Amino acid sequence: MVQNQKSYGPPRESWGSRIGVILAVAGSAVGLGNFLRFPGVVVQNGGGAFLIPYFISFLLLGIPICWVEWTIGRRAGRLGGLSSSPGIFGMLGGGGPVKYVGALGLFIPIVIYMYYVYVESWCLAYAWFSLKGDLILGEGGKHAAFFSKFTSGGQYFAFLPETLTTLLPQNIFFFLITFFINFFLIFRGLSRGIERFCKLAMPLLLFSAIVIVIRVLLLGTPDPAHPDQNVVNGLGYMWNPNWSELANPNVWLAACGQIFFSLSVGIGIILTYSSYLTKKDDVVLSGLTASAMNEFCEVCLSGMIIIPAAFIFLGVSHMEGIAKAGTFSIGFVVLPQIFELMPLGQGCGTLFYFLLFLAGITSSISMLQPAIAFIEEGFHMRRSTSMAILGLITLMGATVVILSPGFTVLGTLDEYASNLGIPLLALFEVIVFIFVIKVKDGVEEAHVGADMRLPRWFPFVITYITPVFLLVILGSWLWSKVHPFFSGGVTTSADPIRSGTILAMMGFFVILVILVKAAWPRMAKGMQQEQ
Amino acid sequence: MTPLGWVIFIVSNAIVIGLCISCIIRIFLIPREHMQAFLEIDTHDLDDNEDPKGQKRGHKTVDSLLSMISRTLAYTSSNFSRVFRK
Repeated sequence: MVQNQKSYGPPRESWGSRIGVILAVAGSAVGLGNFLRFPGVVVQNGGGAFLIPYFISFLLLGIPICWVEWTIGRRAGRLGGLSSSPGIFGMLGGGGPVKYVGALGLFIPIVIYMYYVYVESWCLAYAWFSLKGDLILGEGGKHAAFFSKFTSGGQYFAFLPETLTTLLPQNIFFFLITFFINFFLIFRGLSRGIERFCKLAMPLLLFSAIVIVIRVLLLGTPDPAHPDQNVVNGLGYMWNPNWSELANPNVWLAACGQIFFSLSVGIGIILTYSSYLTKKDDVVLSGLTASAMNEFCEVCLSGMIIIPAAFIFLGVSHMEGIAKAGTFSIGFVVLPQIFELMPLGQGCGTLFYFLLFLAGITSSISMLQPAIAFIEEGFHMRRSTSMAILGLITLMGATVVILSPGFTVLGTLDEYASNLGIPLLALFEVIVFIFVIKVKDGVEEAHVGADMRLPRWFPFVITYITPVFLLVILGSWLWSKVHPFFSGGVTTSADPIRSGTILAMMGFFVILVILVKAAWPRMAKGMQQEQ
Repeated sequence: MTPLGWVIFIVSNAIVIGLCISCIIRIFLIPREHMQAFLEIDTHDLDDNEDPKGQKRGHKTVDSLLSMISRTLAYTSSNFSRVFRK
């Protein structure tokens, strides 16, 4: 590593390496949650109604819990050598029932992975479509129809034999390619290679996103027949506050779910990765930089591109209809219309979707690490074996997601894993930080090797504000779900696919709890040897 | 867009951009950073060629069977285009 020689003080690393660090942190942090999920969730929750809970959640939940998770993980890794969330919770809880909470840290990333890789494959497919010029469709809702036809498997490759194309619709074809790429990268341990590649891809993604923002802001009023559908009103849809919606617990839960999802906080991934860190490694500045980069991509780029453009091209009712049908869909309907209006739009579209695909890969290959660590620690199996097991489980889950009609299964998995599971795990992490590690010791632990100190407000916020905030949101959400049962508001017209998905998730969680119980003796033995 | 909407828009974007800039400045100012991105962290996995130290590996048959499946899948994925063409 090149170092600048100074006559005094410690050696300084070169600017190149610092930029490399920033890009690596940004590359790991930025994913499909920023560019595709965020606009969908904003529109689903009424635009301006969402942003205030969202920023409050970012400041009071996202950043503090990010620090908590990095700190808990590194402490547990150093003291007990365990890296999976059941191992970490079990170690910190003295082997008691707290270890079963750790099953959430396996359940959430596996469930998210099942649909995340499918959405990732849409990016690859759209890069291909854009390259071929298939996305030049003109106006009149054709992009929505194209997307709908693609995701329902209605289009086929012309160059393949007819019998094969009948069996292999495009969405399944691109999913299989994406799934195998992910599998190969994780299996061969090539995550660091792809991360290095993303250091080059990340500036390109940011640059192309900034170019698209400028193009969207210059759209003005493209359709004189609809003068209301202009950029300023599109921004107004996103930013004008809607105070009446602040009393809705679902909006708050969606806001904190989005923050957690895009920051990868409360999922269990940070817990696992931070357990591999040493005393020398920083956790405070790393966590803050990753969070800040995430927010920049989410609010300043994605929000400024997709929501105003969707408002202009689709109008409010059509935009809300698409977002309600599928959280991740809106970017695939709106972005091609922007690229059509840009010079070299076909090339820009190909590049942007491919870079998005890469950003998705860097996120998805980290999602299985908690489960890999659990299988290695709890059952002493090798990485390849762990990957085979996880590959089969996630392939089965993803198959159900793909073959189910519409986006019911995808939406249900996303709603319960992201909006309910993640805040729940985050709450348990905060409880462990306050009552097991103790806030004072936790702050000291975070400062070991840190490149910056935690702010003075952190102990107060993490002790009083964050847990109360999470409890109120989860309690209100639970009440909103349970209350109709007692007041007779629920009839038997519930969607059977949705109910089946919820039951399947509950069954999967119970299996994970049983596996945690079975794995614990080996994990405890490994922990004792490490200690 | 209402005046309050403009205020929230400007303040929110300023906070986010300010936070990013302050983090970048900090990274450049500290004498030596110790930051690591997720995927750059060494995960100390058990490789196929090494046994866990001092630990008996359970489920040997299952282990080798699943290992074989995963190797086949990895081989297929690395040669996907060739296999598909055949």
